Amino acid sequence: MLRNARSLLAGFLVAGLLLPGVAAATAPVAAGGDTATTISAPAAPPAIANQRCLRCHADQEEKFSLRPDGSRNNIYVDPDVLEHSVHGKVLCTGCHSDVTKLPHSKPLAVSIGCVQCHRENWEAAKKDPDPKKRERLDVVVQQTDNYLHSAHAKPNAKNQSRTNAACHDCHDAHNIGVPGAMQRKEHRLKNHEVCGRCHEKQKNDYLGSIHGKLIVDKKDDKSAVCSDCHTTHDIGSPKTDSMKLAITKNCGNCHKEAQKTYLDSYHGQVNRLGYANTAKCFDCHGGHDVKSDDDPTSSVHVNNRLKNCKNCHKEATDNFLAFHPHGDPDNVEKYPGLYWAKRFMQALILGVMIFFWVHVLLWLYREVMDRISGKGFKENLDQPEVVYFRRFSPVWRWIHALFAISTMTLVLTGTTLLFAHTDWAKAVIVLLGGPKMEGIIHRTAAVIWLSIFLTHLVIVCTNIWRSRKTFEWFGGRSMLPSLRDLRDLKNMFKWFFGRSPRPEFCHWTYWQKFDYWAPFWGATIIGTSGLILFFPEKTAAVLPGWVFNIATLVHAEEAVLAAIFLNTVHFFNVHFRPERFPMSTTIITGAIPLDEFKHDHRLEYERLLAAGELEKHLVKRPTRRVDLASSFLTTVLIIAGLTLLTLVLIGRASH
Amino acid sequence: MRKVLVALALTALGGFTGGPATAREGIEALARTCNNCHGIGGVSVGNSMPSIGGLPVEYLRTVMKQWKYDERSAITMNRVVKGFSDDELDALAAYFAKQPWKPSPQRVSPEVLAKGKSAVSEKCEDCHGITGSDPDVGVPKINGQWAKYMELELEKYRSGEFKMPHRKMKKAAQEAKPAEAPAAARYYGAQNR
Amino acid sequence: MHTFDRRSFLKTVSAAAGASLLCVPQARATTAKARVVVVGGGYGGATAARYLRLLDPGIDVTLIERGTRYTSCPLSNEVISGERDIKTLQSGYGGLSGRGVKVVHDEVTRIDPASKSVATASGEAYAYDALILSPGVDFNFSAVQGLTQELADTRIPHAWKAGPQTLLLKKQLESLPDGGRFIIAVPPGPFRCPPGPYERAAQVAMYCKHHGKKKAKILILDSNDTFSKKPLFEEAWKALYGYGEGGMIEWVSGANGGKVESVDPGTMTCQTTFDQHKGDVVNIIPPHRAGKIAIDAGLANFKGVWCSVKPENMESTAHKDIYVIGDSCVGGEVATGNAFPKSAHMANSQAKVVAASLVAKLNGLPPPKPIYTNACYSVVGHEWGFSVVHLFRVENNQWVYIKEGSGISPVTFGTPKAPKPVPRIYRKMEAEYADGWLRNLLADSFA
Repeated sequence: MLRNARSLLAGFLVAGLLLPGVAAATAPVAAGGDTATTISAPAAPPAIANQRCLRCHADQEEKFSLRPDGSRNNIYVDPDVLEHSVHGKVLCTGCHSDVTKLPHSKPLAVSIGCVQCHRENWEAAKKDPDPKKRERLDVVVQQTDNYLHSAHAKPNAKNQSRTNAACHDCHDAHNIGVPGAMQRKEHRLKNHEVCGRCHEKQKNDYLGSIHGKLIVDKKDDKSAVCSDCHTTHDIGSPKTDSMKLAITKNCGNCHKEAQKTYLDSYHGQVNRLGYANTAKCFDCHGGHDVKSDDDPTSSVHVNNRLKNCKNCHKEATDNFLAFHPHGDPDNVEKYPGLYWAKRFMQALILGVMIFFWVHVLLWLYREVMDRISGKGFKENLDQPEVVYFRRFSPVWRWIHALFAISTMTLVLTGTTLLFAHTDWAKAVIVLLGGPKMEGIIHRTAAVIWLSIFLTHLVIVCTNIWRSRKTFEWFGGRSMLPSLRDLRDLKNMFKWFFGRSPRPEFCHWTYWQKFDYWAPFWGATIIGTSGLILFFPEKTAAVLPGWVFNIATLVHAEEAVLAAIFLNTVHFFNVHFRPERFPMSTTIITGAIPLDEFKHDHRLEYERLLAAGELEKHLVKRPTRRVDLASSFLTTVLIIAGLTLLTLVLIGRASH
Repeated sequence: MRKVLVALALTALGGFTGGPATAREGIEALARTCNNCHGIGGVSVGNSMPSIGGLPVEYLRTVMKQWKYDERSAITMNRVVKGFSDDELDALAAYFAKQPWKPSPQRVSPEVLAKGKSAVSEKCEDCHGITGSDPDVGVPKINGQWAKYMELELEKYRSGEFKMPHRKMKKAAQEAKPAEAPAAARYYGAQNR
Repeated sequence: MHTFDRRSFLKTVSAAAGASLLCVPQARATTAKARVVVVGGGYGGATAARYLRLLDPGIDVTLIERGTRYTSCPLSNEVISGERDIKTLQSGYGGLSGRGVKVVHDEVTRIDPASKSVATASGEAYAYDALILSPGVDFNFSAVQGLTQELADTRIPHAWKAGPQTLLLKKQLESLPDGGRFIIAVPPGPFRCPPGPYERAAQVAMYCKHHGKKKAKILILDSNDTFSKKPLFEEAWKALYGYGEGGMIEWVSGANGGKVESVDPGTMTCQTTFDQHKGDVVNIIPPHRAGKIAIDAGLANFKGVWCSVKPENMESTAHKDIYVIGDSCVGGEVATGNAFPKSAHMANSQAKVVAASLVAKLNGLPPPKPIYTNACYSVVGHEWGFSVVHLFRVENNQWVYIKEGSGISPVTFGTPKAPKPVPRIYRKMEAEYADGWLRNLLADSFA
């Protein structure tokens, strides 16, 4: 009861003393007086001047006192150090608040109210219009908050009455430097000792590491210390994912290049999305005992490296060693293959896109100009078309639909990884259910995509075989590119510039042929690289590890090319050019209004008409329900495609 | 002489015929030789002789040993303690430490009290406490200790003619102004609790 | 508990190691286990009575003392010089009565060791199981021709038993003319308070010095060739009053004919072996012997004037169950010249030995190990005092003088080859200690 009353009193007193803030504490009695008197006026004992404390505690000749158990207790406080500490002008009893009289009881209870005091000072400083004055207090309060949520602030498992670590376990309160002060450097140089008081094994590992050696042998305070990786206050168990990610991120504070290349790798992309289930820095390099790769005891030494791979890739072969976990496609000296692969892919993307975008723009220009001058193809809305031309059989419609959906799925799931740095990717990965689920979806879509592609080949082959007697390889109904396509292209450009009429086309226009053949190229590039990445261990049984670097790069670049091409050029050609705007549902319904068919494929129309085969292909106008449904489906696909385009462009632009 | 001391040590340790009761009486008999000057139970009645009952055992032991081995100056006690073995001195220290501390508060004028208090809070309080009743570990209580004794002891610290091994006490005493020392002594002498 | 036998009592004591002797007998305090009679209420007798009751309230203690108020001899020289009020040296017997001592103011006239009883002047008889005799000293006036008890009480006081004669001597000193002579005659040893005469010389000199009698002379006529604390006294005399040729104080040793053989009260002249010395004040301290009652009881078996006692418990070697303490007894290492000094502190110490020994005996406990101590402060001037301490132990039933625990205040500092004077502050301290010592000694004996 008495004790409670006393501590209450002490609490009032301390509160009174400390409210005026650090600076005001230089005149303790006066400063404390105003506030203290109003709270606990009569009983407040006079403040104990630091000079009195230092009479004993700065005594060079008696630096130790004996605890009741006979052990030595260092009670020495260097007055010079204290004076230059950030707390140099604070009352000793401000922190050692249970000292209300001298001599004080021994041993002194550990009752340093760091958190409370700093918070109170901060609250007081908030009223100050000059925000600079509380700049540091902001940091301290943030850090105390971090501490309060850290593993150190949790009750100790063996002794629930205390926390795992308190402020003073790490901070030598009598020797805290302001930013830039010598104390900071000193503190960094002995950081491992402070942490090592509890984490002894980790300290010993650290001392053998390249970081530890720089600190101890070279006194290089720029080398990493415990808090650089584990954070200073927001320390959690390194077994948690959040801490693993934080530590991995912190490596990059110094190792910027290595982190950049790591983050571009599959390992890093997953990590960047906020998942810890791929390799992180310390999984390969070791944590506390990180060593240079030319050190034979280092876990990344070439002799030991495979062991790291095998932690995840159980059947990793020696070929894994040729993989460049930090491969940099912009570094021609170290990674020429990767460099040139990237340059090629970039040239390809740029070439294709520039050509087709110019094509698109000119086409748009021409149609707009034609419309302005009252020319061009226009649907007669007063007399809607009743006769349609059947352009696609159901099987092709199905194939296109599945192909479109699986491609979009692949683009979404793939670019989520590729653009892991974007916010949208972090949101999408959650929706997808994490990187593992993302992987499953991506691979499933890939299998569907490839199956469709193969199925289509079979059908094509069958069709050609059936009509082998009559099939004209370079005829009007053939998909094979011909010289005519080149001519059409030339005339199309002439038309764009108004120098000749619009060319007339056969069954397939040249841009349709391009749309058709592009996936052939894509399937080869993207499919092969995809399979390599799908089965790394199988691949590495025969191929060297660097193919993964190449595969990752071209897979991604090709995907970006496809995504941009399909959702811009293809969409324009099919849906967005003014003649077709807002969309064409032909690929859903299989039917195209005869006029439109006539307009785009006049040669074929005329050929059919001449051959009298036209009737065979004519169908009725799709019913209203089919029309609505197909419009809806097309709309959905277009919106999905445009959304994907946006995401990809965001990702690309911000990379 | 040696034989005598050994025999005495044995007595003090209970090795003599009577066992614990004799050992007890052995201590009491020894302690009674102190009563002439320090009173029964170490409660002195007289101003230049200090009360010693209830002082910290380490303090009593330390000063007696220091006197015995000429590490600390005294005028009478240094001769007296040399006749006792270390074990006897330890036993005496333990015996008197176990006695209750009984302050003998002495009258003093308010002026001296005020002067003494200011000197005490300046020089003495950090170790002896503001009333002398709640001192630091190992430091003797001096509330209601005889002022004359304390005055004389302070003179010993201040004069420079005495070997006084307690560094801090010596420093504090020597830093005090001439009038402060007796005032502080009387202030503490006036304290009851 | 009330009726247990000796063995179980012992067991209880042994078992209760924490229980002191002080509290053990309370269990048996209902009936007196023994009657102890103490004769003489000086330091020795009072202390014995007091400690008997302190150690075992079950013992019936009767103290028989003539006077109702005791005056301490120690520091009574300060009364002569006017430095001290005699009241500060006095004590009544209320303290002892309060502790259950039956204090009887009477005079013991006869001791019967055979029937173990004492008889008093008022006709009372007191049976005892143990008798503690502490009668002080008796003065042998006849050893100095011309000196009588009557003269001592009126004109030539010895003032060696503090009281009226002390005040008489004080008065005589006050009327000493400037240039007058104050004679102090010292008897042959052993005598009570060995440094006393020399302290008195100093006190008288101090009085003269500060009371317009700077030309007065103090002549010490000594029957002995040396004296207690001699170098300390001589240093002080020299420094304060002048000593020897031309000084205020002059000391004539026995070898130089200092022994006073006779006195002429008419001319106040002392006849020494070789010389005659006329004094304005003559303070002859007659030779001492054991108290009359001790001699009458046949206890003075040491040279016929002192009582020989056993080292372990102060029991008379002449009669069983009679313990002689204080100035009447003889003890210590007599052969080596380290006998018990006849002092108040010594008597107090002896009394404690007797009390503890008797209590142990009456309770059937093994005899405690005796230890005897002495301290004696002399004050020779303002802020000038010094002391002597003694320590005696008993080994193989013999007193052993413990040299290490005995000795006088430092005479010089530095090395024997390069001696340095002892700082004055040492003397000042002991002058102050003297007062504290006296207060505590009085309290330890009478309170």
